[in-house]
Amino acid sequence: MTRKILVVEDDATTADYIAKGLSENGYVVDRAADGRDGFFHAVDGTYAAVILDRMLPGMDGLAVLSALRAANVDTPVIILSALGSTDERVKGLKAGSDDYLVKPFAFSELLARLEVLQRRGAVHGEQVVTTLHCGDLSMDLLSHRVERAGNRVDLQPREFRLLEFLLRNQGQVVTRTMMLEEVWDYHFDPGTNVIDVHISRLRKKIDESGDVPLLHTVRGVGYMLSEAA
Amino acid sequence: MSRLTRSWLKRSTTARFVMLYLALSLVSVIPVLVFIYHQSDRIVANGYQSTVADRTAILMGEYRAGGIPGLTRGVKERAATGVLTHGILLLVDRDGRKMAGNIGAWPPSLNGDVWREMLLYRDGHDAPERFGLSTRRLPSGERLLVGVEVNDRGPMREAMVVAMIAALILAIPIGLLGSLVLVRFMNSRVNDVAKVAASIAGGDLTRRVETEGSNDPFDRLGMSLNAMLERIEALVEEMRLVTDALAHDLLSPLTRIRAFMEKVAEQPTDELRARARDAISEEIDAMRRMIAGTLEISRAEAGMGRENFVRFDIGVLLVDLCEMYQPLAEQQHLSIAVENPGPIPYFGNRQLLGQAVSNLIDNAIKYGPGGGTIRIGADDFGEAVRLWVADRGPGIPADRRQEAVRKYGRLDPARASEGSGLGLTLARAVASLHHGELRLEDNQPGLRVELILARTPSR
Repeated sequence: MTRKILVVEDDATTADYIAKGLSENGYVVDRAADGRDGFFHAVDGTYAAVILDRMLPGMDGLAVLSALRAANVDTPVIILSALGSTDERVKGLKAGSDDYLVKPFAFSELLARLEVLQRRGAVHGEQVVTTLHCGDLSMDLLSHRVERAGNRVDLQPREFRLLEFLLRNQGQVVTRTMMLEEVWDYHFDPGTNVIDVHISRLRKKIDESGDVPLLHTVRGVGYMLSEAA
Repeated sequence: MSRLTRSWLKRSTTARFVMLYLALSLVSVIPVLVFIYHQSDRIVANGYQSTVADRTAILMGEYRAGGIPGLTRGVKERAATGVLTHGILLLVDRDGRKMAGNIGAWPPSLNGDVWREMLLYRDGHDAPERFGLSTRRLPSGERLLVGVEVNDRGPMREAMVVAMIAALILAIPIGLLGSLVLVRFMNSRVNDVAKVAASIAGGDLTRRVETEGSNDPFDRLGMSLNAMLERIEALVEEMRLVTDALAHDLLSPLTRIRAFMEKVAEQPTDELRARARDAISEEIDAMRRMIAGTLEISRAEAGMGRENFVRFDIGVLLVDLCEMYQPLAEQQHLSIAVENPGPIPYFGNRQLLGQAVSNLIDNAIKYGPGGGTIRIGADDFGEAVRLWVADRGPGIPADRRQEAVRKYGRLDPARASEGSGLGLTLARAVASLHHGELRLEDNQPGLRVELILARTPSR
């Protein structure tokens, strides 16, 4: 699998920040400083993902995105934008982006979203999964049955979806906003620790009947479901 | 017309008004004059006709009394020079030979007994004169012609035309004068408004247009202008308060960030350094949220976001949010209950409404501690939908509710409690995006926030 990422960002400081972080995490980074250049690079479709700034000189980010989609390039695209209103996000997603991240963002948030996006791309086309596992935790998607070390765990519907999301992305960090978007379908920032409270409930349910904790807090970023501590 | 005049005419409303008024007064005068001309001409003509008819009747009386000889005698007597000064008479026999009269011969083109006008020579006159005449055929074949001079009808017509032209010429200055007076009056009233507008533009927002209460269009213009000025003044005042508050709320986290940054360097262990960095991240997040919230409110207040209206069920939204906030509420020893959780189909911006309601629930949890149940719900409210979040907290006194809705308006003076102070403002902006309003009510005890949302027909 290619681990080549294209970063289209005109602000040099932000571009350096992203490129440095991605390199440290094992990605190969190409950079473009304006929309035309970005489109030129991205149109051959060899990148694992494109990180695209919304406001670019030469060619606007959304225009680049539309042009790429029109050229049948289905490389996952994450839009970065200072335009953070929910309507702008919807506009970005409608234009064909796979994710939309509002500036200023923490690099860890970008990385988490990038990893989830890649996994989604990899899973794409596989046969339908009916059970999910993580260590001695199992989830049956058909019967909605969850077990930890052979003991049944009773979950509310929303907790089930939360756990499903974590299981599908196990070993990867998922952020609070990602959970809010995926599990509740809300694109706003609730501001308080709503998600944390839900996670702590879920953790209580799945980790109290096991030997090792599976649901880990990743400081300053979010949560991760993983066998390894 | 020079180019300058033309462009002045084109551009100046006053000039166009004057011209229009003038054209209108001319257009209304002309038909009246034409009518009068025709009427008076007809009356004069009628006078001639009745003279001829009377004379014919007298001669016919003589014919009935004395036969052809009697009539011949009567015509002869009257046609004698000097008796009939302004008329003509002629009696001819069966073959058209003159028997009596004061014109030479029967005019060859004359047939029938209708009223005609023609030029004829009178005996003893060199020039032809205009006569109106009618004829009569007698049973024995003789023919009688009776006519009257109509030469004075021409001067009469001329006099009429002159009078009319005079009237038209007079109508122009009178029309101009009238329209100028009217325009001056209107201009002076418009000028009053313009003067007020100019001083407003110059920065004095306290000026108002004088109104007299007559409710005429000028008065109404003045009143609506004043209403607009009230609104502008209130907005400017609010803007000032908001800018101050925003500056305060953004500078405080910046101050804290600077303090934390200095602390990061001083921390002895990695763990403590990481903790200080986390604190910085949190402050940045809070600032980002506040800016995002402010932008979201401005957008909603400007009516942006209607293009993202979708069909959804408000009932489901409430149940979702209730479930989302329940654990948080329980941490604070509160609970959330959805009243009448039935389906309420609605066409609106689901994301923004979700955000608004979640802000309200968040407020209810934050400001309504100490047990009790937060009740949320929605029902049909006439044509609209009413959505509410009611807590059992201390509530907001009636006289401070206005302040609570204001941007960044937190009711504790020290602004110590967390939160951006944008919750109610966003809710109000979202309500107005849905052509509705926000109401703060007394929940006895507690605060009941209601969002009245108009139903928009879905396209």
